[in-house]
Amino acid sequence: MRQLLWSDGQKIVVFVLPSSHQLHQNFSKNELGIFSYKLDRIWNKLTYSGLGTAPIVVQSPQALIDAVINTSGAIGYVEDSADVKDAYVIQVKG
Amino acid sequence: MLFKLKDRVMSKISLLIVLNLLMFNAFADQEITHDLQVHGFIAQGIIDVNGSDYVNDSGDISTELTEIGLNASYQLNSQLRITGQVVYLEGGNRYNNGTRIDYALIDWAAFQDENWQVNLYLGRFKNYHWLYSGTRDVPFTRPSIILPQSMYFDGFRDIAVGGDGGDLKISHSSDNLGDFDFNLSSGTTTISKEQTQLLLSELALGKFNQHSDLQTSLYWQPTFSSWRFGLSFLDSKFEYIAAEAGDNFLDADLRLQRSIINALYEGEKWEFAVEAFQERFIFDGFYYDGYSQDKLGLGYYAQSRYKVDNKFTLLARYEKFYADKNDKNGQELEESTGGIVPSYFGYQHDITFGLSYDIAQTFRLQFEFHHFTGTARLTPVVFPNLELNDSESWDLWAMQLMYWF
Repeated sequence: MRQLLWSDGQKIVVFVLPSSHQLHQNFSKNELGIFSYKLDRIWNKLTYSGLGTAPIVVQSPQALIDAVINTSGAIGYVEDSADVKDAYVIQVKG
Repeated sequence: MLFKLKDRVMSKISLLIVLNLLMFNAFADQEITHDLQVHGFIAQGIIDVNGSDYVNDSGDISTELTEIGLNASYQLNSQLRITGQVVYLEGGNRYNNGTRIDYALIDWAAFQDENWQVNLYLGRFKNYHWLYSGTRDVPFTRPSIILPQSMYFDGFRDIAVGGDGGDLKISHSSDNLGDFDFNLSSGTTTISKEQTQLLLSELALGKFNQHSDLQTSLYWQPTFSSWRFGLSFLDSKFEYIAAEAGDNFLDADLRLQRSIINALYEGEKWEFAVEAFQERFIFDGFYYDGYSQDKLGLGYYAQSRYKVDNKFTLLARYEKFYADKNDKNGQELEESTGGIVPSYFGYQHDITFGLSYDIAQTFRLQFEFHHFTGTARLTPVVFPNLELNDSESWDLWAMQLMYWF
């Protein structure tokens, strides 16, 4: 949640879907273990108090894939079924 | 995020990562940078107060409930960022109205590894120490339009909102213990003539300065817990320099020390928040040579929110404030002023009910009702307005429409 840089010093650019999007809610609740409204609060505090920057919100899963592909050091999430080229897709397992 | 994710089973969602892949592929020319971010908000409401001069002197319904803000953040390199926010506030008698620089700072990410993060913020920074202090003027980040006045006293807003100086933030994430956030800040605020008269009296013609301000806080969220606990302290010194000619008051020294504890629970449907404090207020001079006052105030609130569904949220809050915890019913205050200042200026309690409705993702309508008993958190504080605040009980309702991007 808190890491800002990759191990090579490059800034991590995070893309997310709107918090009302089902994929975003599933990702935050099931994978991060945090309710999406709570993520909104943390990111709003960063954005509107000067403490930091929040992830960039894009409007659709395809727009998220495009944004990640076109941004160096970017990270996002996709459904397993998504067809992605030009980016690493990592399935994280316990 | 990356490290914690490794411990979890991923079923239907995968991480999508582009590292330096762009350097080698055909899309390199299309690379987009996101070093500049611009955000803002706009909110307008109506507010009606019956029985006090909290918002206006007339008691009429008011549109003096405007909050507009615009901020920008620019990442200079992996360690340095500059950011600032301008706000326009209109709140009637609540605080000094108009446009101001809310924050303008350089953020130096001094150190970072897997578990630690150290940032130094230099310039005009916000008060990051209390539950809602960092974004008290940002409508959609607040639980209510009017925050609990015991903690977030509007008359003291311009001083409590932040300062010019520096803030050190150290964050630590431990897999076993949870997340820790430590903040230490020092910085003063230039106090305007309007703010001086809001706090002291309209008859105060001199200059009110903040000498020093030191604040610190520590927050702890246990691993995988919905609870967060906080501790905070502040020590702030002020001086009043009477005008050379015609002032109604003398030079004065003021000191405010505050100790705060808070707890926040954020569940899927329910939320609970408690914030309690004790503050020592030392006040020498002002009225006459040798005048001295040293008292301990006490305040707390308990708040609950319930998310009915994705759009509706209900709010209930109970709040108490005593200007002097050794004179909770204000009797000594009344006696010490020969009966001029009524006892109810010694406390202020509030019961609040509210609801908010999310019309769209970044568009919200909020409504609330307050019933107050007592007038200790009205302005001016030091020399209160007895004529307009002649009632122990008073009510407030407000409605505000807010949009943000």
